Amino acid sequence: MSDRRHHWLTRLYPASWRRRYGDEMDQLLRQRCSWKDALDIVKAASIERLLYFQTTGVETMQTFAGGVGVLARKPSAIAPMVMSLSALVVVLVAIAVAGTKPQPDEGAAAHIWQLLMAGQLPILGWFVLHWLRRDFKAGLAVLGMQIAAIVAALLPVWMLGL
Amino acid sequence: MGPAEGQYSDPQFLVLASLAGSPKHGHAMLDDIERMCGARPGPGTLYGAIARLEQQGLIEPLPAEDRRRPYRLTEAGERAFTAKLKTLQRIVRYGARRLAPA
Repeated sequence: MSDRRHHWLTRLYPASWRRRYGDEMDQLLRQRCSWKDALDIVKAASIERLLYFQTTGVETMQTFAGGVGVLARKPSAIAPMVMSLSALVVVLVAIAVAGTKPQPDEGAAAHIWQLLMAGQLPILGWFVLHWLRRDFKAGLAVLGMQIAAIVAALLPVWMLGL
Repeated sequence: MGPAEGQYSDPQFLVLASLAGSPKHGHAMLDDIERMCGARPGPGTLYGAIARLEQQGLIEPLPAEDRRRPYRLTEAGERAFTAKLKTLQRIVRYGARRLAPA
């Protein structure tokens, strides 16, 4: 069924929900739709969007069960680790070239390091929001790896007072 | 706003209770629940409960009839409903005993 033909209240639900229950809800609303029913749907659709937007019906009831190995290969899992490790390499190269003496001005290496460390934060946030609730254990393990990579990138800067 | 006094408001339990008799589609469930407990859940509440119960494998859809899809209890659903009923009966027994004049 074309999405435009759904009742406007049914269209408040997420697309996956509409695909599964949209026709049935339309049918119910065709038979009766008071303002109380409308309010009830607004509330229920908000809950579906906020809490269950990835888990509608049997179609998506299967939670992500790929384990740490599969989850760690997801772009939002790899990217922060790659960025932290790149930041670590940048620091090590900068130390190898310029030594450990603090420089009067922040050079290009410092800016690249800052960009890499700050740039991964939104990706990390996305990972936590998207994957942690699907597979909490594996998500936590991958988050641990990401934090370890961040610590590895921060450690030389902190220890050498760069 | 909370449920009115005397109103039972566990939509998942009410859906299980409604389907315990026979398979029903959404509209029939709403009518049945209204007869059972005197209040009619909204369509959003009903389908929220249906979605959660289906996710838990406690109910399952049957082939659609004219865009209306009936649902029925699964075996796990029957077991879960029986267990919930027993708990509820225990609560009712305790509650009635405690409210009874000494």
